[in-house]
Amino acid sequence: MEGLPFDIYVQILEQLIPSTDSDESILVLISCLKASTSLRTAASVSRLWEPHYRVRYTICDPAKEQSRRQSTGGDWRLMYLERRRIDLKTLDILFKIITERGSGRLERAREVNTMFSFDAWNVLEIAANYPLPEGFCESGAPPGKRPIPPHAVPIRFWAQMLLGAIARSDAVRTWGELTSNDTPQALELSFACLSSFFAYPPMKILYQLEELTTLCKTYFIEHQIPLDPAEFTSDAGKLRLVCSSICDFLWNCGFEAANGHQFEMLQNRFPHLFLTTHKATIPISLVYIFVCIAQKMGVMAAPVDFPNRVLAIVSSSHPDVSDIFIDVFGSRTQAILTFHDDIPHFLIQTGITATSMLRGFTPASSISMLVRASRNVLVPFYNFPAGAGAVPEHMLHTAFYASLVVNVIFMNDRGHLLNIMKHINQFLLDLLPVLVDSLAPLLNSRLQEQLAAHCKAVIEDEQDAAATSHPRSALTREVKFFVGMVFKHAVHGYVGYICGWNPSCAAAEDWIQKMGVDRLSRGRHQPFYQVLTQNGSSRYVAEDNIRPTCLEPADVRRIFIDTPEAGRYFEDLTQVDGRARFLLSPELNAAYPDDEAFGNRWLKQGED
Amino acid sequence: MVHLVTSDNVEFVVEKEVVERSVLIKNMLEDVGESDQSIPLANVSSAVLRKVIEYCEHHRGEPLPSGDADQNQDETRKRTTDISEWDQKFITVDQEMLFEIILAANYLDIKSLLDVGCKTVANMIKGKTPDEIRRLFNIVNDFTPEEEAQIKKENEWAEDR
Repeated sequence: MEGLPFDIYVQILEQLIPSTDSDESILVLISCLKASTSLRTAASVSRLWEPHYRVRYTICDPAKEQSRRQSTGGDWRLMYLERRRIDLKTLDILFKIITERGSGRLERAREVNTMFSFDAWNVLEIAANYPLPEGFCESGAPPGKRPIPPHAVPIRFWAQMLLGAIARSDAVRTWGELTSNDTPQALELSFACLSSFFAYPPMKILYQLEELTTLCKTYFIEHQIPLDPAEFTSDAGKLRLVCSSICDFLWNCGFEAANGHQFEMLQNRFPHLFLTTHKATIPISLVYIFVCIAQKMGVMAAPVDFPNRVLAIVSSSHPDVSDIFIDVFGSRTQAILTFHDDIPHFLIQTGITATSMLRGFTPASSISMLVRASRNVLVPFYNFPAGAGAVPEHMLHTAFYASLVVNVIFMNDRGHLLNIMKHINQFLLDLLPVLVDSLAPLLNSRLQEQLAAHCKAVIEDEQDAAATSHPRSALTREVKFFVGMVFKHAVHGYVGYICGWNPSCAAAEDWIQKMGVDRLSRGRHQPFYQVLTQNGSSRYVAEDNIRPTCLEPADVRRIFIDTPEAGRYFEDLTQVDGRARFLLSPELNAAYPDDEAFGNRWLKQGED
Repeated sequence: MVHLVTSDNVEFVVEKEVVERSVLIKNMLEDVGESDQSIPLANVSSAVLRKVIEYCEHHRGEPLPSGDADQNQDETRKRTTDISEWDQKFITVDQEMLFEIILAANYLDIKSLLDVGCKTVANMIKGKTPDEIRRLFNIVNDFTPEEEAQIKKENEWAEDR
């Protein structure tokens, strides 16, 4: 038999399963494109590519997606090819970010963000989740079927940084647009952008809210609550029923009012968390969900910047139906508040007696809600429990960063801008795409200058650092240990690893005094090491205090999961007889060109 | 009972319930009514029809996909890779027979059998080079050098790097 009919080829190719972690199916399609004219025609059928596109590309830049759809005539194969090309370019640039030192990587991050923005998202997400080397996996865990790409660990680290930069740049722009165009509908997206700071794309939040609305409609049908806006907006009783039923629905879905210590949790201030794992949340978050769902169901809803507790206001275009106030947070006691009795009572509770205040209770702008949300982070910031069992440190930094940016944009506050500059070293690729390209245009000229000066200083620092290299041939004093070595502190007992060294103590005089360096047997005239401890804090340690040690597999894993910055410096671990060393990332290898070989010899020969 | 005659002139007498898994035959029977008149299947050989009837016998009584199968049902059908153990064993035949079964299932309009066949072929071509695929389907490379170059260029991104 010679070949099969066209339809059958198409039906065969339809059976290929789309997958995010394997290209197997795509490669079959490609092979068919190359096999013969008839197979090529079959494998070119647009709809065959749609499921593969949809599975791989869940996030896109909406404007770019639209023009792509136009230029390809909606052909899924051509769209797929175009995205794959973007993926390759993104990975190329990412690879340069990993291998090049200095401010070049800032420019690279800007390049990806400007050219691709969210179009680079899915491939970066794949890169940020590359499989870890075997030494990092829990013993007994089945070996992954995916091959481990070279430099997987630093790639994961920088891909995550780049994802964050893309999302934050977009968030800042979205917020910037509010200053000229703040509609009630803008609340949904602009509030979702708070999660962008955690590298969580706003589209996902919008999708979750859409899903909740669908569920809410089903709930309404089951409970025979009117769904038609024409019906409920002209009837005060029905409108109240709709509003209180949305609250009932939320509780039905597991949302609830935070109480006691829950109220103090950082997590319930950010949409990606309060929509999923932290559903016991604060009033502003509950009102946000309420308003978004209500709007999608045809209710004219908005938040109210009420003192003490954010409420929702629902209005109707019908002249006989007056505004309704909803206390979503307190809805298990009383959802609907009357303007004449309950609201003044509420005010008295917060210590306000002037009835003139009543006029202020109109729908709040998205800006005022964002500012209020940011204060919910900034004001109790120092009360968020730190240390073990609490919010990880990088999460605190991120929450703080998001809140500072809100304040800088809408309050043009200089103090907050200075604070951002203190945090920016946690967000290594943000400087150009987020601060310079997105934030600076929103600031007044005085702040712009300030920001520009800061950025210049940071870039110069990076250049200087990149120009420095520490070859061992130039040493006049022996440096016994090397970057990548795992050690135990002789006095304090913690386990850490070396990520830099100086032939003698390079710290400032007052630090030397304070730490009593001169009381050490060799004092300040001995090699000192920059180290990271197992839980991610940086220390500066004298050679006298360093003892080689090794790590349990669980510890290795924890280092790279809990302290992502370890991935910047190291990419694998080797252990021999109670000694261990991390293999260096290209960046660290360039800074300490002789240490990889030195460490390898040390490990093999067992010399001290 | 329904009488079927194959391309090589063999007559099969099959229960109506079994043979109606073929939408083609089901529609024919609905149009012309049941009769002793045999139905000629000019595109199906007796060896193949025997296999097809074996399949239909085994799946007797299972719900048929409705004619106006809605999109969702269609989607789930496409997405499942799993072939049941019995079907797996059933479809383990030589390649010539596999293709014949697919063609017969397509002609007779037996959706589930067509899927089992197509899934099997899809699994066979995984990991194959264009040349291996040509050999499998017994076809030749009929591209002009210009086309060849164009195709190569278009799919550069998929090359091993």
